[in-house]
Amino acid sequence: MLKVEQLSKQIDRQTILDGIDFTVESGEIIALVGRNGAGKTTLLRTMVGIIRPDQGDVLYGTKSIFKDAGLKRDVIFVPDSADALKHYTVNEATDLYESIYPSFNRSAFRETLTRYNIENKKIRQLSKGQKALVTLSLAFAVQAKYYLLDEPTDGLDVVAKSDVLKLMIAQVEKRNCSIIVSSHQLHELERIADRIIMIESGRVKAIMSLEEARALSIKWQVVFNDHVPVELLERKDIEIISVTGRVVLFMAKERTEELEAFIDSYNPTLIEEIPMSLEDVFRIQLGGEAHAV
Amino acid sequence: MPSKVLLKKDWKQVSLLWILLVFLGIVAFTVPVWTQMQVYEEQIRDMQENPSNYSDILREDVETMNTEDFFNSNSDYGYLGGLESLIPMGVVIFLFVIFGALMASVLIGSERNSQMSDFSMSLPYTRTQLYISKWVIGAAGITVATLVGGALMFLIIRFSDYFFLLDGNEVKVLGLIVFLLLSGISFFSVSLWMGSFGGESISQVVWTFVALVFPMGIVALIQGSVIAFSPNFSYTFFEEVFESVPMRILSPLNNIVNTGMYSIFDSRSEWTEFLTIGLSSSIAFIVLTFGLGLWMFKEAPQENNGRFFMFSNWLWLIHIVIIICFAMLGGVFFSGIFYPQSVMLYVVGFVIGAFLAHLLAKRLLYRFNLKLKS
Amino acid sequence: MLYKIDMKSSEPLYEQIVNQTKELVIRGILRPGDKVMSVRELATDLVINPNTVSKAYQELERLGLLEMRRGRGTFVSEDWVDDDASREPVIASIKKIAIDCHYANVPLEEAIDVLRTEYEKVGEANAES
Repeated sequence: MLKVEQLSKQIDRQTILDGIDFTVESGEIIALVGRNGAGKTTLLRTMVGIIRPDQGDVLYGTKSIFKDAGLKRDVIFVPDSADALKHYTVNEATDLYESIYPSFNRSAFRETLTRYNIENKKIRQLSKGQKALVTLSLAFAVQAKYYLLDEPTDGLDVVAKSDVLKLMIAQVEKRNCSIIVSSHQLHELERIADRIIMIESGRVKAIMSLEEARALSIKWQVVFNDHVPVELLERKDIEIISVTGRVVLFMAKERTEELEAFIDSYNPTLIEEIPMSLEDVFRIQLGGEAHAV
Repeated sequence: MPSKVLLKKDWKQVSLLWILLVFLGIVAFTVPVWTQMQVYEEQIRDMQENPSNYSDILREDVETMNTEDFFNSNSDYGYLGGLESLIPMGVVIFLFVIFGALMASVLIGSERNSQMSDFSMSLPYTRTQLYISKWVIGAAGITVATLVGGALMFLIIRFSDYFFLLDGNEVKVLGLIVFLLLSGISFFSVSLWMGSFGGESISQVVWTFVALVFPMGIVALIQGSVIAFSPNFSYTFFEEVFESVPMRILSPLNNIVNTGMYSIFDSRSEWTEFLTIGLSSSIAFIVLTFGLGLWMFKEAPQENNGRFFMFSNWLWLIHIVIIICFAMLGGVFFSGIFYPQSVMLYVVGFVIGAFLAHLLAKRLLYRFNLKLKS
Repeated sequence: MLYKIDMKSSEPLYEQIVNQTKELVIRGILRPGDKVMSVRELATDLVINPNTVSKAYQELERLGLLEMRRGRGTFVSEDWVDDDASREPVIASIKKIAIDCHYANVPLEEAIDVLRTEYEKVGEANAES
């Protein structure tokens, strides 16, 4: 079990992480979402022991990763670009991993190479999708217990994206490892994540499953008899998605009685509750422009 | 106890440089020797063919002289030089400074420039293991280059016409080779230390330059400043500082300069001093730089990768030191334009230097990178 | 691709799988004794969380529709009886359709005709299997 305890970190007098606290069980896929600069990459780098926190701890089982380097045999961090091993050929990288990690499964890795038709070139010579597949496959071949992935599908074509996600799913199912994914691809995350951790300004804003996230906020389509009331449009606690004639589509952070009563007071023709996607939840909870799908 | 895996990983990064170092080390230890021997041969031949040109240094009939006679400093005959002229200290030192810095830069700096640094720190090895592995590989390169090169140099002289120069001096030659070895490791070790807090390769190289120059440089600046204010200040005071043991420890270049290379073969006291102070200063420096490098590598906050100086809490101190040094430099420079030194000019130079240094420091220290991929 | 996951639906993913599996069995596409995809296979195929599939399969097992035979895989049960608990969502769907028909100006008679035709089609397929 992985436990992040009250993690705080300041960089250049700016608070990047502020009391981050959560637990990850085995077999879970956790999505880490937040605006750019919210602290996700710093969090992942801290969780694997690269960065040392000002306060707090990251425990794998009962041991702190900052005190026991050996724990890193079971935790793999895959950054968003295959920069570290770019001068290595695929085979050299394989040899390196094999020598570092006793649990490395060479045949499993080779099988992935064959399946995706990847030749033994220098990693920097591979296509972007192949780079991602190689780095992830190397990581998964280690058969570690915890994986921290930073934007694994960023910039990949549709086929590569799908391959990467399937690789992740198969790993979790087969080996019951845990994966913490930081990503902006919300439409992917909502399919594969067990729970979602929303980070805002270095703080955990919410931790919940997609169902819970959906239940938290609301998205309504309301048809009015006459026209959409100005008072509704002027409300600060909602976000208007669209207004077309007498129909308004909007989201609200919280479902409140007051809001419901307010709408009812105008006697609308129809109120339809639309299920929220993760992108909707992101937009309303964390504000502003999220990445478009 | 460096890890085999880490050694292999570091080897992959540095192997080309390492092999080049050994190769060039062999060249540096042998080619200048051979060249010098050619020069001697030429000189002897010239003297034998045109003795009249050398009447002031030749006392006897040149035909009766054998090669040995040309190198006997106690005789009345022409003296062409001693063993010290055959040993290419300067060339080897130069090579070791360059390659020491290069290897250190490849081992740490280039990692910091890419995500390899993060990758290394996510591996199941302590930072101590990471640093020791790098140190051992670099030191091994210097060692192999020196031992192989030095042995070859020894053999070349031994089997040449000048073999007699080695008589009674074998241990001393060995001592010099050891000294070169220790000096070479010193350069590498200090450069690696600079990489422990220099956030990427350019910073590391700059800091290496600073480290090599600073001990003597700061004393020279203080000397210049003191003299600007009181020109009659005792000159010998600073001379003593430059020759002091602490200075020899803190500055390997100073140590080399103070090694009485030309007299260790003749003077017993010089040889003793070389053995005691010369060699041990080098060893002290190596221990110092290794220890500091290891400690700072462990402590350096990885999130500051890419900065000129990674310990951001101490940037203010570096800022002040930069200003003071360049201010003094300005002062000394300006005050020395006219003789006798003028205090006024010193102050003017001091202020200008301080101002420019402040601008430099602001650009250097507080930007997040000089050239970075983080 | 037997299953169609609708991320926009208010129905949780695992429920969609449960209901679609039932439909596949009713329509005879999956027959008793057939081997179904493993949790891993289905999760990767649909690119969804394996725990979701696992939850769906467990529910289907609880309903008696699926049987997990250790070492050999998951199969459609030989003897499955639809129980009443699944009636309610269907009734809810019918109610929703009533509203939709109003908005789409589909007359009640037409709606009933379509319902009758499809119902009979499925019934025939069932009888044949």
